[in-house]
Amino acid sequence: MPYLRVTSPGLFSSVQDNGRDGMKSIGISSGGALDTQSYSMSNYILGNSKNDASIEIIGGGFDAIFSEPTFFCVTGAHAKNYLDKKLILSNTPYYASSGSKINIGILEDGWICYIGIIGGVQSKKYLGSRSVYINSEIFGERIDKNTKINYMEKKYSPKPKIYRIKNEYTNLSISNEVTSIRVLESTEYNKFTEKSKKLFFSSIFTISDQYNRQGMRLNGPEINTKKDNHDIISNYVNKGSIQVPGDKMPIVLLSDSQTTGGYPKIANVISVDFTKLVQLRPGSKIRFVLTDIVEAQKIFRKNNKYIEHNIYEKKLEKISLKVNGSDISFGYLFGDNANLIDIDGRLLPLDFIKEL
Amino acid sequence: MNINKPKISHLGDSSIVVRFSDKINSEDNDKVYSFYKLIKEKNYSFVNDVIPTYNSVAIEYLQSEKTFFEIKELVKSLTDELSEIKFDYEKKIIDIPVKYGGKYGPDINFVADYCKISREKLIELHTGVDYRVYMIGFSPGFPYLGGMNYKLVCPRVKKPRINVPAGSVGIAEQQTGIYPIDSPGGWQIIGKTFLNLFDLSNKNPSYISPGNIIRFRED
Repeated sequence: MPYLRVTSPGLFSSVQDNGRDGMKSIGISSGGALDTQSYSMSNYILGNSKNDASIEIIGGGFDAIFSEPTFFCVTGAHAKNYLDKKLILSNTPYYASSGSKINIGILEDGWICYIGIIGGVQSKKYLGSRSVYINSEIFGERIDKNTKINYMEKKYSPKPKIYRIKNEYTNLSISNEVTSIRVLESTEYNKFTEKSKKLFFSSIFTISDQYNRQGMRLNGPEINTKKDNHDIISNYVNKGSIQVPGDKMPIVLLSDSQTTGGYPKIANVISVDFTKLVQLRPGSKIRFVLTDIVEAQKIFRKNNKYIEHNIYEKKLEKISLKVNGSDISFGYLFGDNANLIDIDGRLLPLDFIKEL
Repeated sequence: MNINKPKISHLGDSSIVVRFSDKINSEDNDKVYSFYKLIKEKNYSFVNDVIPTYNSVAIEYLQSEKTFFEIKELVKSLTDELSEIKFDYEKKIIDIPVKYGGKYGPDINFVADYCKISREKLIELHTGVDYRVYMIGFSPGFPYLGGMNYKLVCPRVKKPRINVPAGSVGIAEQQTGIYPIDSPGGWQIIGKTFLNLFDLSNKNPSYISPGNIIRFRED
């Protein structure tokens, strides 16, 4: 089976899909991609199935070599990315030949990239998902140097609908600015002092470097409960829950969150802003803004529509060729420095044209 | 709190929590499992997951299909429907051998000091009762047990540990439990079992199920 051999794994890289739902009653976290929006785009761009697995790269600095030709794309954080030392665009499909080198370079905006491969990454499925779980190796291992990431053999693209996504569309925030994150009151909101509630919404919190797929610790003013007791009878928690343990510093639970927890929760990040939050790197500053459930669910629906309208098929210049004295079908190029051509709905590498 | 009037709140924009009480006791936990069973039997297409805990049930739903208030109305009508509190516990006794203290239980002396008892007395009290499995949560297969002797009540560690090894037996507040896989954790660790509590090659990967009875013994 073709594989991508990793020469530099970066800070933390792993295979992710939409995760495992429906098993929290036996304590199994849903897991899955952190920035679900950029992950979904990696499949959408290549015409993959919705739950095909991609490579999640946290913090950049990832290098790998393709063993066999395939099609791929990079979504998420903006970075200087290269294919065989040529700069490539985000949200655009590319053709990789045998021995092609991909490099996810220095991050500009954002913190997490996804590499999508046509047909999806072919790693082992555990309980219906390929998502690797950070707290244990029960669902596969993180990507390391020399890890071989399998993908499907493809002579040509079987699904011609390959898209490019407008670069203007992004859930990335500008570095150095304070990002507003909208939240809802949580189940233990009223256990906190009035002063702490006020501080929670008026202060700026910094994302600490204690940040992994399970949770993100924040630095800021102390957030205290009325009884100065930060232990509760353990109950349900989910991704986006902001819990405050005994050291009074909030923790935002992320995709590999535990399923129940024993610290009081002050708030929950709304789904749309969750993808914005995880794209912030350690050291970034955030401010929490209170919203209500009606508004949060409206924002969710509006965002879904927004994504639909901002994805479009990129059709650039027409190509016409004469082969053996007769015209052949027309096609389209993807992007300014793209290396793909669509001929009668079959996606082919540009090099193919040169050979004709 | 009456079963027909549970407290209903949102936990984020796609989960709802139905709380039957603020306590840990077997009657309230029975209510939880009656409601849990009812929801599971309905098999709603817009429900992603149902999670029973000590005294509440969480429902994860698709917000693209149902709003919070629609789910809240549904929950109200279901709790009205729920006249009979019935949950068939699998009252299986599970024997758990534990090596207490030393490198396997780094917090045993802290707990003994905090509770003002000897290490030997702590082990005697911890092995001396049968524990009911109230829920599974936190990490894969992790059982939350009820029935611990009140003399062993102690706070969590101030700063959660990055890694607690699989099999570790811990205490936090009025609760005791076992970490089935390596995971971060905030409980006081008093010992370790060498049983494999979580195995993906089994049909039910979790060795322990809700309703089981746990009996610790010194290994």
